Amino acid sequence: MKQYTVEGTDQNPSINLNFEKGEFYFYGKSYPENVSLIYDKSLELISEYSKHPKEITTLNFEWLYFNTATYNILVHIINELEKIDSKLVINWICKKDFKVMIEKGKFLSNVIDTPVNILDSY
Amino acid sequence: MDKSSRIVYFGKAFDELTNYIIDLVNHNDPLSGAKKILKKRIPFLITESFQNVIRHGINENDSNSIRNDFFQVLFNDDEIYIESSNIVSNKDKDYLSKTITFLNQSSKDDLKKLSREVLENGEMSNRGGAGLGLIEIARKTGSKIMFDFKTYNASNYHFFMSLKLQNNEEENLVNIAPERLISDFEFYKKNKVLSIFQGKFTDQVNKDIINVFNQNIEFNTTKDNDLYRSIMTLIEVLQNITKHGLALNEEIKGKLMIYMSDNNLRLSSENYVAKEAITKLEKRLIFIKSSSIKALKDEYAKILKKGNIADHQSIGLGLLEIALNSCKDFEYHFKTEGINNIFNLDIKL
Repeated sequence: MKQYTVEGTDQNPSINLNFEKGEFYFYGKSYPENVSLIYDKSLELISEYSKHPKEITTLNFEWLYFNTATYNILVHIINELEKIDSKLVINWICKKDFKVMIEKGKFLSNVIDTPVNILDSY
Repeated sequence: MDKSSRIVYFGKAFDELTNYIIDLVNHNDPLSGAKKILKKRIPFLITESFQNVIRHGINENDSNSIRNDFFQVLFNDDEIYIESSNIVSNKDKDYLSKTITFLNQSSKDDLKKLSREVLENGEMSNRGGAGLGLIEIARKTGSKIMFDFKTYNASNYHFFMSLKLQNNEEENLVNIAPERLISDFEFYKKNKVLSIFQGKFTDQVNKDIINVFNQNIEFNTTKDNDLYRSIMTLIEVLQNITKHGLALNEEIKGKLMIYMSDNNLRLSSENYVAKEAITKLEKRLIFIKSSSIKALKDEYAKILKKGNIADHQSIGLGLLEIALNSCKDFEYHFKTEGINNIFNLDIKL
């Protein structure tokens, strides 16, 4: 598969997994009651990608809201991608005055012990 | 916990509110048995009465001010009430009073004729100029429209309207002053209540609640960061109820309220919990209350680090998120109601 996209809803994220470029983008709102229903397919496809990854894999997150279960899934995705033979770049995109969201990105970096680039969404 | 189902919105109305509340009523599905035949009328009556407020309510200051728009949908055992209040001018007061009194005195056949007359001619000929909306409300409610006015200031009035839906269309209401509505309104106003949902909690209902409450929180927070913390806390509280609330008769029932206190937004929830779950939950809450913010962040990081996706329901991040978002400024109580136990959480944001 070259690309996998899911259009977001009020509750669920937009997902764009570009396997040709090794760029994965999760954005919008993510607070599903059952995160497995939303993320299992992405996890399966990322696992498949891991067998033949690109030299650089880029993960972009740009959230309006996300629940703790989503946070947990993000860490799992990162943990899985850190195991593979590809340089992992993680971008956390949000408005520069959105302090709470910036803190979430920094906290993520602390949890995974990997740099997370905090980028301004303008 | 009160057995009724209730949706309250008090603040500034917005265009999508009507649809959000209709979704919430439909997904909460508090109707049963014979009352289900009334179901078709509810969206229409919500739309007509709420649109009346949204379109005609007086905004006393500028567009950013908090308004006194009020909506309530109440499901008691035998009755359904669709209620609203807004501020109207003296001129509107006279028009509404005259028109509703006339409609209340009209028979079913008269109302049907009036409806046809307005549809054909665009307005009612010589009997007060009632719009189609009010005529159709009178027709579909099946009982008298309860209404009243209270002085708001020198030139404006609070207009209260209560629609009682019932199967028995022959019942005549002796008192058309909506006293209970006015009393509810005064109570909510005094306690600075912004929104209440009481009823059956499901994944879909949670989504609807977030849609309704989101706007009211947005109107009462000035910064993105405060809005984010409030919404995130709301989401975790809702998901705690649906994940951990005790189902009675296969339904997870509870109550959620947003209100203001000392210029702070507060979130209060109530739900049933299993007796055997109380000890574990209380132990967790005592740990959270007695820990420093740093210790809570460490605990949060420790849980996240595991990246355990096998069992999202038991990882325990929700309460930590609530505690961190509120800087631990929350209270909790357990109380009993007959053989049932209720968990109450009150969070200052």
